[in-house]
Amino acid sequence: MRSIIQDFSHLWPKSREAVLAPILSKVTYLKYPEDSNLLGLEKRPDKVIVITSGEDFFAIRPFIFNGFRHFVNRNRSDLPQELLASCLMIAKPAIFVQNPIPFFLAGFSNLQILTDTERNLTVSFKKSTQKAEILHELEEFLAKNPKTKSLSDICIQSADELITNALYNAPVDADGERMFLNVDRQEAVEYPPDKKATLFACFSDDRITIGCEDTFGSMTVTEMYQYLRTKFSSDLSIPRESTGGAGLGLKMIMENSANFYLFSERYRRSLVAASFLLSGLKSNMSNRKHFHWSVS
Amino acid sequence: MQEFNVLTEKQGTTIIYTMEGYLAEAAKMPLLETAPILKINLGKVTGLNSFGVRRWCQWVKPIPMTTKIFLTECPMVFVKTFNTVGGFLTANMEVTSFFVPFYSPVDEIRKDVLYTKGEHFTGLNLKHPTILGLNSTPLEIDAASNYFKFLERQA
Repeated sequence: MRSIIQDFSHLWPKSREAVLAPILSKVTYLKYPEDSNLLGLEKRPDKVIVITSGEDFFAIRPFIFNGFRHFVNRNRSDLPQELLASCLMIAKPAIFVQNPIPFFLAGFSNLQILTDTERNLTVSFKKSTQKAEILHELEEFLAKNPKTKSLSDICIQSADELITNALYNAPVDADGERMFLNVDRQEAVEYPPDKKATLFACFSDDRITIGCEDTFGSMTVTEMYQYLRTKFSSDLSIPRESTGGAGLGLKMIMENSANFYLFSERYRRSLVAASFLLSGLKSNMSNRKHFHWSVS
Repeated sequence: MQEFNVLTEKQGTTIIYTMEGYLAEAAKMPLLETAPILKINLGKVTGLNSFGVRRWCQWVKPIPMTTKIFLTECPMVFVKTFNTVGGFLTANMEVTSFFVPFYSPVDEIRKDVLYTKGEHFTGLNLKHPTILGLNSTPLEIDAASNYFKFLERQA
């Protein structure tokens, strides 16, 4: 078993050692493709990071299907922060739970970005009729900066899917039954009074992170596996023709973005986010992706 | 978001659909008319979501295979969907022009350049133009490695 602290502690400044060592020491990893023969032997794949090196994200399918949830590409310059995000989600979920958004955006650094209103957009919503207005607001926010403007089409598409997912897929009633899953997406829906969702967008000099948080926390491990199995079993996805959505939303977000995050606390909240590197479309839509999900 | 709209014209035995706006759940696709040739111009389509993908697939599915469909000015979001969603680019469709994103990391500028059949691509052969940025430095093609993959299906 490979150890994160032994092999990667050099990635972070010495000054952080005391804080990071208790976290890093609890996490192990496998290398892809070198350790492909070990994937079936891992007893707790959800607690192990897969460190990939290749260009083909879809090649890691067997790991996804075997229950691994954290994939970090070692050839990316943001390896330290992504590795840390995974380590936190695995070893210290309580720290991560308190405020996961900064880790999606910038790891431990540049947290002042989060208070810069020019770099942040946060919109709360409760009903589907708000979606067009929110997307318009996001479009204007992206247009303010040439780097974010150049990614506007993939960011808007991803945000649309995040909002739609929060509105139609996330809501569950007191019995845990999905309220709007099979509702036609043209039909307007509204959250119960005590629930809300929030779309946020925030950018640093290197990336923009767009995410959506809802207060249902309805995503289950089984559903996530089922989704990933269906969507990653073939290169081409087929839209669902039955009632409800097309079933393509999350995969579109994963394809568009450089990093994908899904974090869900049962019946408390779900947070789905994607980061886009501010260095053109190719760097985001290539298959050198980071991918993390954690569902409790 | 710009509302989705379609203009339909008839030119002899060809029907031309000119689409514009954001293709999503609220989009109303036009009634399909029978014709041996359909031309669909997508140059003013500003985006699409997953439901728009489904709308499109449902709309093109009943078109008989004997009808030839020519797609022109396909935006980047359409091209990437050709490569990722089954039933989005059907066997009777031919893409005659599509946009390719170019990017300058120096100027932070993206320019979507129209590739036209015969001029920039013939079958699988691509002839990339030189696109200059602000300081006359060439822009790079800014697309995923599989961006041109759909051409294999119509070669």
